[in-house]
Amino acid sequence: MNGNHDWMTEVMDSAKVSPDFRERCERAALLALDIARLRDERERVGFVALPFRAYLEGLGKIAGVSLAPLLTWFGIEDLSATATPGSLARLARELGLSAREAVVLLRVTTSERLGGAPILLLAARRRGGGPPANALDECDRALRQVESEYPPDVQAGIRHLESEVGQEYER
Amino acid sequence: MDTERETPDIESLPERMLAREESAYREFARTFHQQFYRFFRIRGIPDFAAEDLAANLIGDIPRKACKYRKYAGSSFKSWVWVIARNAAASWWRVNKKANTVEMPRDLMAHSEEDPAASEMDQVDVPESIAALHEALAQLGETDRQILELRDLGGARSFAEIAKLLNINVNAAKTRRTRARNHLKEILARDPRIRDGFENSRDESRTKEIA
Repeated sequence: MNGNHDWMTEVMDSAKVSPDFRERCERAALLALDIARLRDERERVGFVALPFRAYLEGLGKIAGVSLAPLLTWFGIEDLSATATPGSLARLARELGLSAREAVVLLRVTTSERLGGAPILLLAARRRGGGPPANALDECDRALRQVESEYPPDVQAGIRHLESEVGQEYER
Repeated sequence: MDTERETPDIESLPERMLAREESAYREFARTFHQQFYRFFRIRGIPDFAAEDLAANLIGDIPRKACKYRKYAGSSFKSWVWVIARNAAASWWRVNKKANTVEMPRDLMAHSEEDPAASEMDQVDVPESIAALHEALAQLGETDRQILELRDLGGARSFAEIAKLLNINVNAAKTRRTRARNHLKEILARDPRIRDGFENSRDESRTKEIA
């Protein structure tokens, strides 16, 4: 163990981590902080009948959190697409949304993508302009009315979305 | 093992994380990323998977910090290591079909495997990493942190280390030298290191003679 052979350096090098790995871990920790901040804002704001993307972007603006790294972490390319409901549900769960809230936000996304009237307005119209009693229930009822007129393939897509989100929340 | 020893700074992390202090999140990553990586490597998890698992834990644990409850005899640090062991056991469960070696015995309690069906000595554990991990655990927290920050991938300047640990630059340099010497003494007594390097030296001599 004596002599010029620098065995100590060799041992330490065998366990050395790369600078890239260090940075990746620091980014992961800061991402956890971003999620916590969004979660805090989500608790303050509660449910609002907006498309998923608009809801999250709004939370991000209030919390001062950039959504791009977060979406990359969760493997989400487009918040306005409902093609990856599992990933969207994972993110929704992390932010403290219930499964029902997540599904309703994604259904609002579908409704607006199909060019329907804003669900907020439809819900207000249903209650005759008075103050909202339960925003989630009202939005759900307004959506069901609108969705009953959707073509069968779109209705099937919504059922699939509900199922995928439900499975993700049950994990 | 040092992983079970409490340190005041680490124990303050959950509270500071709940207060959304950015420095607490950074400290968590800085304190644990190398330890997690070595922990997974010495349990036979390949390099790339050890990095993935470690990075995922660094992101996941702070999100679970609100679930941590302090009670008599408990510590945040030991809570963190239970999660790390679960992650390693889970990796072994998922990858057992692809592995030709068995799950390390210390992960058995965290898995559904039959403990009698495995032998730790069948695992191709990187012995130098295991020896280093255990030797580092015998150092004081600050000495270990200095070596992590300077020699084990941190590549931080002494000025940065001094600032992070709230000591002066000369103290950082002196403590690093002392920590390295201490670590060297511990490692020199470890047969996994001693025998390994004596064997490689013998092989070199044989090659030279031939």
